[in-house]
Amino acid sequence: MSRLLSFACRAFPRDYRARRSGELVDTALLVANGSRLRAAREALSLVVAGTRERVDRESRRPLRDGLWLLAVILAAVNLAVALVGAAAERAIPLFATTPFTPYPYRPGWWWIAFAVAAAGIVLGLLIGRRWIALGSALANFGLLAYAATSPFHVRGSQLLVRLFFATSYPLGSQWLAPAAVLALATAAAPLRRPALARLPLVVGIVAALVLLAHATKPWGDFLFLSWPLVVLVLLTIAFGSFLPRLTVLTVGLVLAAAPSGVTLFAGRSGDRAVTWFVTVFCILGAFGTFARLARRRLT
Amino acid sequence: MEIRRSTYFVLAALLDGPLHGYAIIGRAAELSDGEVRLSTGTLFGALDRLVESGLVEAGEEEKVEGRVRRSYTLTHDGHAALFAEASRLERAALVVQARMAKVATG
Repeated sequence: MSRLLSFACRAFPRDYRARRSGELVDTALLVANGSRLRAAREALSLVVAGTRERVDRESRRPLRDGLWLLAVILAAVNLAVALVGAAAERAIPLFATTPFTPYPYRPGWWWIAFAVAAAGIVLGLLIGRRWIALGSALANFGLLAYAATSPFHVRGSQLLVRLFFATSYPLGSQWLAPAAVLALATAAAPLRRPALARLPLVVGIVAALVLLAHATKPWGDFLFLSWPLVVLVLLTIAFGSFLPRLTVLTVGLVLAAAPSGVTLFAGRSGDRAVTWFVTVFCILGAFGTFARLARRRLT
Repeated sequence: MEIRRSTYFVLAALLDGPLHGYAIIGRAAELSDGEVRLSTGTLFGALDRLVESGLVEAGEEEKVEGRVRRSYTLTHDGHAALFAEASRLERAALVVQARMAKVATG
């Protein structure tokens, strides 16, 4: 019974738990008075109170805290795109592999630089060194701007990647938006202390994104991320006016993804209406909630 | 400031002197004729808010017979807030009782 109640106390934030869990568990044990049913009721009440405490604290966080979360998530997606892209040439159709594709396969300098810059952003954010994170984010932006503005910079096999997988890889001007949002979030995010304990989680997210991208298409594709983004926008509309980090995260991700949505809307005929609707819905949903949150903060 | 029913009885429970969590639950149930049955989560949520707003003061944590306890005391502001709420409820009850008496006498 005591174990169940201690477990229920995990709903409270860590520091609160450290201060109060002894008192909470002892009081709940006295209330339960040996009855399993009452102990379950007490455990539920602790979970509800713990969740309320977390939401209450979350609602009082400054808006800037959301920028760190935004920067880390965008950096993880950026790294996954770079890793999948660097290996994408393996998926080039066999008839096109000569005379461009080197054999044995080696990723080109651009992909290597992109992957290094992407890894630098993640590392800089997690060890709390802004100059590493921001320097890498600016290099990342420069590389994507180079790819977007110099269509023939990529020679040989990278040109084939561009030709075959144009919508999947960061070689168009629409990819400048996530790079710019990532650089701005990295510049403004509060980097107070190292968060290396989160490294396994971020590596896990990157690995999961790489696997999912390969599961979608043999050469990897990140279009599947549009659906989690829609879910995030729905959650933001529902809870964003009292969860500032969630709202800032969603606004940033929508800003980053909107140009890709518009590009898809312009390029595809089959699902044009759906893409148009989803893009406009995401923009209105995210910015509308942000406006509500800002008004609540100001009044 | 209107006080929630459960918070009202938590404050009322502390009128007789400092009490720890479990004793507050028991006293609140007693004072409300069993109507207010606080769970641990609800009680500590209310106590946190009351401590934050300065109506209740939390004492140091102590171990009594192997159990962790902390006593809570009603502050001067807490007394004032409880009295104001009791007066407000009394006035509201008097309005209805006077009206009902008028209706009953025709």
